[in-house]
Amino acid sequence: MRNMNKIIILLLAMASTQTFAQTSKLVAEEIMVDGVKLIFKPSLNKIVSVRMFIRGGVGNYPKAQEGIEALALNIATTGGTQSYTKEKYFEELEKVGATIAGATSFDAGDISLNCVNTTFNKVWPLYADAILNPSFTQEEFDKTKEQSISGIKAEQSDPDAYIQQMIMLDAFANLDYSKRSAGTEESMEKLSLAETKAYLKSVINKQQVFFVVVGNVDKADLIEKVKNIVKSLPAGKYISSTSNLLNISQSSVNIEERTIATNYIFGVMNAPMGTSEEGYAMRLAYAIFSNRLFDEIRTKRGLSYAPFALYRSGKSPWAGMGASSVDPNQSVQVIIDEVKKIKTVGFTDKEVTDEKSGFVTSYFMQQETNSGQTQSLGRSEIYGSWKSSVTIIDQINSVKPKLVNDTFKKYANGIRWSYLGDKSKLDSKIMLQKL
Amino acid sequence: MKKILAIVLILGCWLQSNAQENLPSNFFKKTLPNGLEILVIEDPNVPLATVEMVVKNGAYTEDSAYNGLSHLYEHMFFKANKTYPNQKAYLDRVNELGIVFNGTTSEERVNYFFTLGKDKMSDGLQFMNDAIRYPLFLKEEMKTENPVVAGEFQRGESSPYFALFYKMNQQVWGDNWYRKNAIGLYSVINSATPEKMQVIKDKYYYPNNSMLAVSGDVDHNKVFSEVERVMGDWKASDFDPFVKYPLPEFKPLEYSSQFIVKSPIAQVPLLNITYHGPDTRGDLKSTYAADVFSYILQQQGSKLTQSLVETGLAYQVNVGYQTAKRVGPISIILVPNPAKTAEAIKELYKNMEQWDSDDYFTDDQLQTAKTNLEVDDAFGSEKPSAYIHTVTYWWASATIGYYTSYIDNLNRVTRDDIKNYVRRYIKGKNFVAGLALPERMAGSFDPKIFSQTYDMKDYTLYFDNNEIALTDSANAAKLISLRQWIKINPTVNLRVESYQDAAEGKTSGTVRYTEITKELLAAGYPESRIIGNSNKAFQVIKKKGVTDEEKKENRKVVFTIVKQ
Repeated sequence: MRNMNKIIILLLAMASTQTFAQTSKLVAEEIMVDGVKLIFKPSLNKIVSVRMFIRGGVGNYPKAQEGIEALALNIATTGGTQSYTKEKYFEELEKVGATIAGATSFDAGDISLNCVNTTFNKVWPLYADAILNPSFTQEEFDKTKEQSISGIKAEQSDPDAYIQQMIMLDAFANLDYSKRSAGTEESMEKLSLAETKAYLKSVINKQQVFFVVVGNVDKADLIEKVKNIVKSLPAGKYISSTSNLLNISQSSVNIEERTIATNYIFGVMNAPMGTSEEGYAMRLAYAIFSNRLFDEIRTKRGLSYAPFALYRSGKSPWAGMGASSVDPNQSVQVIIDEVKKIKTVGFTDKEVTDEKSGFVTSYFMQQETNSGQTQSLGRSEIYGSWKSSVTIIDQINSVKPKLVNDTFKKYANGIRWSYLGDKSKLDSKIMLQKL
Repeated sequence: MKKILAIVLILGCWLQSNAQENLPSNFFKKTLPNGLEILVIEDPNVPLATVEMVVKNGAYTEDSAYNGLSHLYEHMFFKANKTYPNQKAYLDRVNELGIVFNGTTSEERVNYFFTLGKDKMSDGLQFMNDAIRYPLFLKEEMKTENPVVAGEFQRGESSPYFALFYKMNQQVWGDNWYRKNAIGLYSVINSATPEKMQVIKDKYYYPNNSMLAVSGDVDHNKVFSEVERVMGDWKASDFDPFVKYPLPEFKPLEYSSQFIVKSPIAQVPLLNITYHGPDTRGDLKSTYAADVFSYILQQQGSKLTQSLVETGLAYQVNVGYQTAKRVGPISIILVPNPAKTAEAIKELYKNMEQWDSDDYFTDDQLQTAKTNLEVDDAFGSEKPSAYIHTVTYWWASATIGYYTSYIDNLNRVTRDDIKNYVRRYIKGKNFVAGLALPERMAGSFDPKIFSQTYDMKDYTLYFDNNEIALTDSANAAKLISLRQWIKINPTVNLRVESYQDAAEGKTSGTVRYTEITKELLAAGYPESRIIGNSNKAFQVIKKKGVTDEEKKENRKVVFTIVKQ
């Protein structure tokens, strides 16, 4: 009996040691592959997520060319390559359920591959070819451009998407963030095949790209694969565009009439850089602010279904708040009252402690998928170092309540409001109150 | 030693039980004596636990007087209960536990879920127990919630395609459309009372009509014991709500119909065609065939994508089937190139006519569809906080076994299964077609858009010498399509011209005309709209052919649309 217990304990110990040994290896590391950074994190599951990030985002092109990266990445990943016709390319991917996609936003673009690890070797050549040798035919270009313009038009009719365009144009007028990464109907119409192709070639270079991979794949083999792409890339030259910190000192209003069932309100305030201590404090401040708005606007007054506050910690950070409401005046007044209250009374220590716990939950929810992890590691690298994606929990936990309050107060000086809906329902004077 | 044997035996039982139910190795199931089912999905990838309560309730239990109240009930779950006296206290506890929460109400399921740190799983269970069993339905909280739900409506109404889908729902489901309208009727929600909430609770909120599911970095034995500790005394109902309160069946569509919604905010047109599809009570086999077929159609190389998207006629085309216990809809969405809308719709219909033909898809495409469904499932299971919702969906609309044997059953789907599915639910069946049209396009658009979607010469029927029956397979197929066409064009006048060759028997042309007219009448087409030759009394057009080609051309029936 005793012996049996010992055996069981030993077996349990072995099992846990093994688990520990396995999980302890599951940490991210960076490897330089012929001058290009590869961030690799092994996983135990069978999904593989690969992203090649392209630094720069909207800073890479002038306003007149807005949308060019989105269009270029779309064609590169859906239009076939020099080695694979479009039909063959999709046939090979679909056969194994893999996807290759391009995406871009304010600060970076990426070409991603998602597949199961047993098909990784099979689909990698397609991924490499999409990066290095996209076919870019005139026919494909015209079709993709037309589809993109249709998508842009459709987005214009979605009030949530449209008011976000309004706030960026207003708050970041003449700055990089006023450019739409998806493009506008006007800018897209003017883009030519030659310039789009040349653009993509210019940004895929050793200085500007890096790879992030999370998956259960062989590290040496992965390095070899990346090396085979990197060796064909030009050295390139990349100078990062500057960050623009907003400097809103008083409130303003930007109104657009639209006949819809409710009215959309969105305000923008100043914010600190995401990787600074204030940035971590700001994350907590705006999460609590969002809870407060939910409580004051929705729970207590039933003024809106979805009031919100958010902090965007990109290269040019900003903070926002808003609601959709049939009573915009009252909703705006509640938001302003809450800002004033926080500036004078502040958040409680308990609110800050609780929010840290909520932050941890949200953080790990994002880390559940390998694709979420490559996104998180890559974004962190864009803003400084991928390591902050790993250390962020410690950073958040070390933030003191005082810093949360001080940070909120420091950046809440004025609100640039945008409003989409029935003009007659809004008394814009309410929006212009001093904070 | 006895202890070890017991452990081995218990383990053995579990393994056996898992094998019988064909559960994946990280799935664990148990049912408490009060009927509460417990499902645990272990996944230690991140240190989180998601606790979900799922109830067999939703729009399908609602008549017009209750439409939207399952939804309102779901909102009230996140408010006062006997432990937390108001929503503020409730939300304070949410924040304290670091919970990310939500709830959804659909046609056949209401679910409530919290994601939180794995160490707080027991707190999460207790919190769930308080909310699900002891809601207070405070009058003042309901009053505040009314405009919130109204706000949810208004956001929906602000979407350019809201009106299209709302009207579609009404036309597809007829008198019982409320039972597919989860968001509900605003007037009903606005006048809801605590008493009505209590009625819903007393009908459906019992352990033996619910399942508690937990996913994440948890140990199933601990979950089982904790759930039993916390919810073991939840009293079961002594009735099956679906026996005591039987639900009416959706009536099959009696005819096809079409409508156009002009939208002041839509920028591009959108067509939706909906059919009544199979459900998990009546035709399991077709539910699998439906999913495989949808995945064939969405492939880049499919005939549908090639003929619509690759030709530039449309920006997007998608065919989907929603698995349901009570009639799952088959929904076709087409976003046409605005400049080629009529052509795109015509091409879509042409494709649909071929959906049951042998060469519509290849064996490779069939296999690819199955692989993609399997890989999609693997991607879905990667995120336990969301995957749990997928599994509970199947529990509500089918069974856990349906889901756990899903991939195996998909792999068994044959070409014939797909043909049967298409023939049983789509080809020649009644449907509703709705088109949302940007207002600026409306002026330049013939509202008879659908009537222009067919080139009528596609329907010309050719006959052999003296052939009068309509059994020729090509003619029979054309007539099926024609019947479908006239169902969506009940107001268009149709000229039917019958030709015969001089060498044929005297009455051949007349008999053909009569037979075809009978077909049209049987399809519901009004006799008054069938026009014979030259608006006069019907006369066969006789011609004399010399060559075989000429003779063949002389033996036909031709259809044309007559402008009103």
